[in-house]
Order: sequence, then C-alpha cells, then structure tokens
Amino acid sequence: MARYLAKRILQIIPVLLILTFIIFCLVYVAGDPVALMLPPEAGTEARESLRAALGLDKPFHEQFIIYITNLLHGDFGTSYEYNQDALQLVLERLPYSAQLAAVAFVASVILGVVLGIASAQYKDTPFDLLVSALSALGQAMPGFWVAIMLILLFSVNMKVLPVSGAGGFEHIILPATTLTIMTAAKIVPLIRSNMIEVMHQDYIRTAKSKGLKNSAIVFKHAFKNVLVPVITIVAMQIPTLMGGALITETIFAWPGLGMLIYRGVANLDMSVVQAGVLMVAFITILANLISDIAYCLIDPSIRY
Amino acid sequence: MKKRRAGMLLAAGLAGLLMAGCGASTEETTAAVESTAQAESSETTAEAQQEETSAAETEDGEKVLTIAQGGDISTFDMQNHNNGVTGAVLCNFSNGLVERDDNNDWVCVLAESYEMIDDETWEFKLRDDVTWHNGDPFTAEDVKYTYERAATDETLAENHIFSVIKEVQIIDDYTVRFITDGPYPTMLSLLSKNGSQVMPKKYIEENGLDYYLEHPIGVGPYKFKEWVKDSQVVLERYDDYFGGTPYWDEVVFRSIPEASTRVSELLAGNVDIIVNVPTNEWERIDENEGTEMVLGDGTRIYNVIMKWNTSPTQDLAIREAVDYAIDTESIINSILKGAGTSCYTRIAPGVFGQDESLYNIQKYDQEKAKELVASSGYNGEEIEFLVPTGRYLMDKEVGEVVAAMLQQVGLNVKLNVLEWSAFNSKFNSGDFNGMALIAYGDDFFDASYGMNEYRTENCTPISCYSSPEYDALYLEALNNMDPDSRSQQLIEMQQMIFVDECVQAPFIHLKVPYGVNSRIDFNSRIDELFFVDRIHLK
Repeated sequence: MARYLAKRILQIIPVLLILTFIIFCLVYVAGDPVALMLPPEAGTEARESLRAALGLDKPFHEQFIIYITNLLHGDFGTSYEYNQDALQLVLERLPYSAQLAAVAFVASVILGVVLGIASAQYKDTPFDLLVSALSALGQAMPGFWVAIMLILLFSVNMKVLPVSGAGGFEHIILPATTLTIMTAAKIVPLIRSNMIEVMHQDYIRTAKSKGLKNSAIVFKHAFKNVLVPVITIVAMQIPTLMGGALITETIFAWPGLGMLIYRGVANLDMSVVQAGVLMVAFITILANLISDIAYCLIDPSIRY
Repeated sequence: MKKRRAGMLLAAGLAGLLMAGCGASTEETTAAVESTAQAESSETTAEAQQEETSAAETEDGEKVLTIAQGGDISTFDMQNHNNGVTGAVLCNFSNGLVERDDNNDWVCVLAESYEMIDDETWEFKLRDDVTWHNGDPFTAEDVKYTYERAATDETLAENHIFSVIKEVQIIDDYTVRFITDGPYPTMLSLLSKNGSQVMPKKYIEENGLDYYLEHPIGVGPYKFKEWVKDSQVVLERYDDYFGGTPYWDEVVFRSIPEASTRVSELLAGNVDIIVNVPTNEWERIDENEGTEMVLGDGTRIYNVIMKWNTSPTQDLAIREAVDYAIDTESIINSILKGAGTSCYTRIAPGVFGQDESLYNIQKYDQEKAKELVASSGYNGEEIEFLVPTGRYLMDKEVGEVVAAMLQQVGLNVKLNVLEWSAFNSKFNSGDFNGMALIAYGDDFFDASYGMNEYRTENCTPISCYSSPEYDALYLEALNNMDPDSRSQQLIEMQQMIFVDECVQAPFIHLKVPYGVNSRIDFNSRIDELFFVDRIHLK
C-alpha cells in the first residue's frame, strides 16, 4: 500500500508538467493581454513598450522556459491585473471555494444517499416516481436559473437571506443550495440504480432468507457494495465544486476560485489562469487519490 | 441642455484658467465646494436621523453607503489601472492636485494655485495642511515621486499618457514645477484624469510597494479598511481630512458581476446604487417602491469601425453609405429605451473641442445609402461585422440591428458576435475583414485624446488612415496654447475624419443607467466616477 501510494504521488509530477504545458499553450494562443490592459485609444507605441516591459515580445519557447524555470522556484508569476503574486491570489480564494464546496458536498451526499436508497427501497411507488422526476428536473434546470429563482424567492420577496456576497453562514446558504440541487440530482439516480442492482444479488437473497432485518440488509450488506462506484462519482464532484462552480460563484458574487479563473480568462491574466487551473488540477488528482484509497478501505478485495 | 452648457463653460473657462488657476480664489472655490457639501451634509444628517434605519444606515446609526459595481477594483496603485471601476473607488481614497467637479470644471484640491510659467513649465503651489492616512504630511516630494514614476515606469498602465512629463522639480516643500516634453496645453486634463491621484513616497520607500498595495494609504476623505478581492472594498471616514469631516462613516464598494444579482440587491434594499442596469430591468426598478432609475451622462459613443486598407470598406462611398444607413432614432427608441442621442463624432459633449454641429442631428437616409452602394461598384463581397457582447449597453442587440440596416442598403454583412476578451483580441490584432462595433469613452476630456488614433504614426491593422494634412493639424493642436484656435483645430479634425473621409461611423452617444435607492440624492458624473462625499441622503 505504501509503495502504491508513493508511486501514485510521484505520478502527480509528470501529470502536472504536461498540464502546465497544455495550459501555457492555451493561454498563449488565447490572445494578447496588452490589448485588454490598455484602452482602445492607446497608440501602437504604448502597446509595444508595455509588451516589451512585460516580456511578452519574446518568442513562445523563451516565454515557456522562463515560466517553467520560475515555476520550479515556486514563482507562479505576477498577475497583470492585480500586480500581485498569482499563487497568493489563488490561495486567498481557496478558503472561500473550500467552504462553499464543503457545505454543498456534505449536503448533496447526504441528500443523494438518503433519497437514492429510499427510492430504491420503494421502487415503482409514487415516492420513487417523485424522486426520479425531481432528480431529472434538478439535472435539467440550468444552474443560473435555479440561482436567480432562489434569490428572488428568499432574498427579494421573503427577505430572509442575503442576495449575494460572502460573510456569515447565511451568505453560504443560497449558493450551497444551488450547488446541492445540481449535485444531488446527479447522485440520486446513480445510488438508486446501483442499489436496485445489488438488491437482486444472491447474497442479499441469502441475507433475506436468513431472516435479517431489512435495515440491516440495506445498510450493512447492500450499501457497502454500492459505495465503490458511488465514491468515484462523488469524488469527481469535488473539483467541479471547487473550481467549476463558476456560474454559481458569479451569480452570488462569491469570491472563490471559479470567479478568479473566470476573471483571469476574461482579462487574459495568464499567471492567474495558469496558477488557478493548476490548483484545480492538483485538487482533481488529490480527489482521485483519496477515492482510490477509500476503495481499499471499503472493499478488501481491491488491492494495489 | 445641461451638457451643452457644461461644454461651453468648459471652453470659456479654459481660456481664463489656462494661464493661472485658483490663485487667491482657489481656497475660496475649494472652500466653497467643501462648505456647501458640509452645510448640505449637516442638514441631511439631521433629516436622516429622523428617518427609520435604511440601507444607508446601520442599526447603530452609522451612515454607510453601498455601491455595487460590475467588477472588482484591480489595485491601489493609482497609476497602474485604466478602468473606471477602480477609479471610482480610488478617487475617494486619494486626491489629485486638481480635480473636476460635478459640472466637469477644474477645481484645485491638493494644489492651492497653479500657473503656467512658460509653454513647457507648470508651477503648482500645494496645500500645507494635507496629511496621509498615517499622519505623515503631504509634500512636494510625494508629487515628484508620483508623477515621475508614472512618466518613467513603462510597466504602468498609465505610463503611455504620463510619459509627456519630463521632470518634476521641487522648488520648496509646497511648490513643484512640471517640465513637459514640448508645449502641453492639456496639463490640467492629465492631472485631473482618472488615475492621477498621488502616492505616498516615504511610506512606499520605507515599506516597499507590495506592503503599500496590501496596506494602502492616501490623502483622500476615506481611508482603507478592508479589501476582500472579487467581493468588496470597504473604506472608512478619515477624520483628519483636510477638506473637513467626510459625510459617510463607511463606504462599501461591492463587486457583483451579474446584472440580475445587482438588481436583486437593490430591490432587497441592501445596496444604494448599482451600475450598468440592462434596459429590461428599468421598469422593474422604477415600479418598485423605494428604488428608481437615473440616466446619467457619459462619454461613450457607439462607433462602427471600418477597416481602412482591406475589404469593401476602403471605398469612401461604402463608408459614407454606412453613415446614412443607420437609423439611429429607431435604435435609440426601441433598443435603448431613449438612453442615447444621435451623434456623428466620437467626441462627446463635455469634452473640450467637441464639434457640436455633429451632435443631435439625423443623417439617416436609406435611399441615399442605397445609391452610394450602387454607385460604388461593390459587387456583394461579404463584409464581416465584429460585435462584442456584454460589454456596452445592449451591444449585441445594437449590433444585430445595425447589421440588418446595412443589409437593407445592399451590403452583404455577416454578423460575428463575440464575448469581450475574444472580441478584443480579434479586434486589436485586426483579424477581421470589414467592420466592428465599439463604444469609445474618454476620461481625458480633451478631443486630442480620441483624435490621436487617426495619425499616421498610430496606424494599426484596424485603421490605417494616413493624411499629412491631418498629421500636421494634429501636431499644431497638440502644442497650441491658445484654447480658442485649438478648439477650432480639433473641430476641423473631426470634420476631416467623420464627415469628409468617414474613417469611422460614430452614431449614438449613450446614457449611463444607474439604479438608485430613493433615499439617496445622487447626481451622476460624466466621468462615471463616484465622489461619494457629493452623494447624500435625501
């Protein structure tokens, strides 16, 4: 296990390097940041001198070598927009994204698991149909629309929750609810179908014939086997919630990583986009690693 | 009407102000502005105290103003940004030597008086009662540091415009002389523009620029309290402000990128002023009790940019046809809900040197446009029309209608709508074949700024107009110290570019839509900045 872990951790390095190159290329071809930094009225000479001052006049390979050398020294570059260390900007946003992601993650896992198991248990009853319909609706509704409806209902009409921004726990409720609705809607049908499949397995029939209580069968025997595929999809929600909650963060003016990357892309602020995307990539790899370890712990038959 | 007056006042005032300004009357002017503000402030304070707790007041009776903008500020480095969002916050945090008042006239702020010694030398006497937020005195050293840095550091976003300053000489602690590279009649425009506030020399040299950026100090009425990036900047009252006690206890600038969220915040009563309200929300804000729309003046003018050296638009008849093909009135009435004025120059009212004969007139003549196209020998080649979305008021919709109007007169226009950063890259590299829609603004308030683009030396892939006659005229105006003849030269330049040669086709001067809580007495400014001490409770 320790060897496996060490191997997995070492694998992170080439993955991150390849990613760095791809991200650098994408940002490079995205356009000229100077075009956005100066007003349209600024003359050609002004553009050229700013480009030279920022080192953007150098050829692609030189720029990449400089970037990667700095990166190895822990220097992610300076944001053109904020004129600040890009990594520091990313780290400042991380707690906001983590808070929102944690609340939404816990809520959607609880909601998804409970509703998923319940609807599998009451398969083909009106309750099951209702849950299936709601989860289909949850997946079909665009996130921005859910967000706007929640704001109109709870903040503008009922005035019980803040509209947007970050602050106390009350600020997190609406954005987290938006994310929970979208994430739980994905988890529910997955748990339901896996659960139904498992419930038809021979060992469940044996358990039933042994006269075990239904709750013991569901939670002790069936659920444990449902967990492995579920963990994969649940773990993959973490990076989505951390860096990809872009629309939700924008609508609720939540100062997280998604909004930082979005602004970085809009302003062609290369260092910020690179540092932000690398951070999300790192979180994705970490989430994968954790889910792999979790498999081992849950299912002793899985060995690496 | 008001705008016209402001423009005339500016032109008339310039003649008198140019040689020497403020002087003995400086203190009176500044004091008058300040005392009026304070008198009003004490009245409104009394009234406000009788009102129940409002959005603008916290439960413990503190006066708090909350403004929601569409983005976050980018920095506290005064000379390293060129955006209005940042400028709107920083103008409350630090001051310039001269500033513009709500009527767009110059007032001395950190300067007590100024005088033009010769064509290349301006002398400013500074106030001696100004302190930085950490208590340090503000002196000539700070002025020298600020403007020489702006003039020499090429990485700064404002360097391209401040580089005209050759040197700032310190005569004594409270007197400085600006030496410019050649005669420079627009010195006051430069020193009062967005991004011209002073920076603290001693503080930055002792602690470093990075420390300053994290813990900034200014000389303005409000000092730094908190900046949660992409969320909000909070400024609080600076009690030792040289202009008297500031009106608000605290000012919060929130960053809310999504327009519908800004509107919801306003309707819920959480913010006092919101910017960039899309036209489809105006009715909702006006009908809601306690909120209202305010349409302010600005300098942005919609403009069809036409490529000069390729595509059918290099033919004068086609460019002229574009001018006649656009039915500006119907765009203003239908899409912009009245928030605009027909305009055939890119220089807005209130900007020195504007050609008033090109403002508020109608050129629309579809038949004439059709004739021009027919006479040009154009044989239906495709003309790309690049249009941004989400950048200017109803930009995509305006672009779509303009494209349809151009098609009606026989031009084979293909619309290409792009998100702003993609638009900007394509636009600036000239990677489009035909035309683009852009709305130019102007925070310099002198026509020479906008008209700079048409000089031969500023030839770009987008527009490469070249005329020795125009270049000579521009240089003459650039160095002309006589406001009257200079204004004539600037007008002549607009006639050449927009009437004779139709280099570009400006067509609508836009209004600026704000949503405002009815408890707030808000007068918008033409530069779209918020000088919060001039915003009061009713």
